[in-house]
Amino acid sequence: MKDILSTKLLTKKFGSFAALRDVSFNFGSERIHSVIGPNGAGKTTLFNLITGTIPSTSGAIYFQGKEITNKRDYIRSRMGIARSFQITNIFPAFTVFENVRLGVQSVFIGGYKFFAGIDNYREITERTQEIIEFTNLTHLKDRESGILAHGDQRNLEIAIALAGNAKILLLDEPTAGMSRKEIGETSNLMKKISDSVPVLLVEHRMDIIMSISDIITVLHEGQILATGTPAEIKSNSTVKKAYLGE
Amino acid sequence: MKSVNIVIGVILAVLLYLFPIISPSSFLTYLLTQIFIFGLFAIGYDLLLGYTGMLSFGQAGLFGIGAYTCTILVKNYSCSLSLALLIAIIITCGASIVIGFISIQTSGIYFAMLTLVFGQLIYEISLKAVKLTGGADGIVGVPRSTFFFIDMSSDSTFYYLTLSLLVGFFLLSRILILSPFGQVLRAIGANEERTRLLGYRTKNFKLIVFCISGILAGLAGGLFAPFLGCSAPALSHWSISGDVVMMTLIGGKGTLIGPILGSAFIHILKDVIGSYTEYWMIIFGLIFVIFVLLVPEGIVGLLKSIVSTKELR
Repeated sequence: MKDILSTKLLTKKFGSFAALRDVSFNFGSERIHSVIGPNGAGKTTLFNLITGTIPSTSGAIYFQGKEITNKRDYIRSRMGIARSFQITNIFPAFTVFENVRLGVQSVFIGGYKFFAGIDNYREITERTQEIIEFTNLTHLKDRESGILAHGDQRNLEIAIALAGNAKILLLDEPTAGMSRKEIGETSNLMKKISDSVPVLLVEHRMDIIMSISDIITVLHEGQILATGTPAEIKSNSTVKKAYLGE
Repeated sequence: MKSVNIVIGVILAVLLYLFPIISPSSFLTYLLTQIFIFGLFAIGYDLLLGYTGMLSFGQAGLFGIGAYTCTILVKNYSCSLSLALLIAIIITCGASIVIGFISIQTSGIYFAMLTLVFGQLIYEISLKAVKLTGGADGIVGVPRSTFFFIDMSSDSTFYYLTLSLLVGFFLLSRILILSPFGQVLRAIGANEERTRLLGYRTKNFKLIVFCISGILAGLAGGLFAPFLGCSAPALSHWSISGDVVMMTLIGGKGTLIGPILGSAFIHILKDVIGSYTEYWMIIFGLIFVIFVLLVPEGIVGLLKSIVSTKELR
């Protein structure tokens, strides 16, 4: 079985501090794979290395069997690695529709079309509508995204990430700062997404992690402490000691 | 609302085309021509700053390159104005590629400083390369020559030429902004990192828009020199870049029409206040401060808010 995404002995140092140390991580055929760990365990660093936002110090990253360790961020995005951000990272002056359309445009035609208006590309408009419907944002379509409620912006994050023809979706704390009701909707959305696109999830809320993950990897001080199903993680004594605090 | 804008635009254009016939004032024709030339310059700058968020202080260098290229070709080689402008555009485009390629390796204030350095470098060259540029004296007696066999020596034909180029490039810029390419420019202006992570190689887009902006600066410079009848190092001075930044901000960045209004505002103000006192820059500075603090959206933003409050009533 070939892994869709894997890392081999991946290390990232900031000065002398190792944010990640020799992390060998595999994303196989599971639908939702979660990465948990206390603050500073290296979860976001792992995301940044996978998407190419920051370069690794040593080790290798593979995506669909190809090494991508030295590929630039925009190339990885074109290959299908999509992500959302822990801190909302959208285009605030754009409408919801325009935000999503930008991701769709990247896949369909790119940016080097100078004359025909963007509205004339019917397939882009249709695909954008589809994603907006899928992520339950239809009623907000023409709103300026910068003034949306926090929860809606978080969902827009996911929609933008999906728009880029994602082969794998990295979600960095998608429910951060959401109300209980919004959290329920978003975890349903994640389940829906994982039907077609595998999801790599960083999340703090244990209830969500335990209910929707197929596999969980526990990071601790930059290293992998354990990997397993939710049941295995719950009963793992090292994890309990280091993280769950029991 | 949109069709209202189009109607207003068409009426305005028609009035401007009729203006030299209606008005006998050669002074106003002269002033408007100057407004159109800087309007062209400022439209290009708006693509750069207003849409893509790139603050350049070196545009005057490109303006100067356009001016000198055109001057030398028309005066020393008896080129027609149309051919001289074409060559000026090609040369400024080349210069933009070099300056742009180096400068876009940085962003924000570092980008602004690098472009400023390049602009001042061109200024210094125009001052020191006496054989080519005439040094501090510049080159005087530049003929306006012909544009596609039409004699350009009268102020009214030159007025029509600059007005037509302004209208043409305004429409082209609008098309560009509404195109897929324009969407990416706006996206870079809003959030460059996110744009890259959607799979766009943002540096390419920034270089292209820098060149487009440079071409318009070069074209404006190439028109301005024969219009004045001379070229001087002052055309590349950083203060000209500053003027264009102000036109864009006062008019309303990211609107295309704003920078043209900004050009009109600044030129008219210069003339009106300048006729009373030589210290017009002080008053002008105050007005700029007031605009930045109270009307950050510029003249266009002001007009929009007036219209929308009226609609609410």
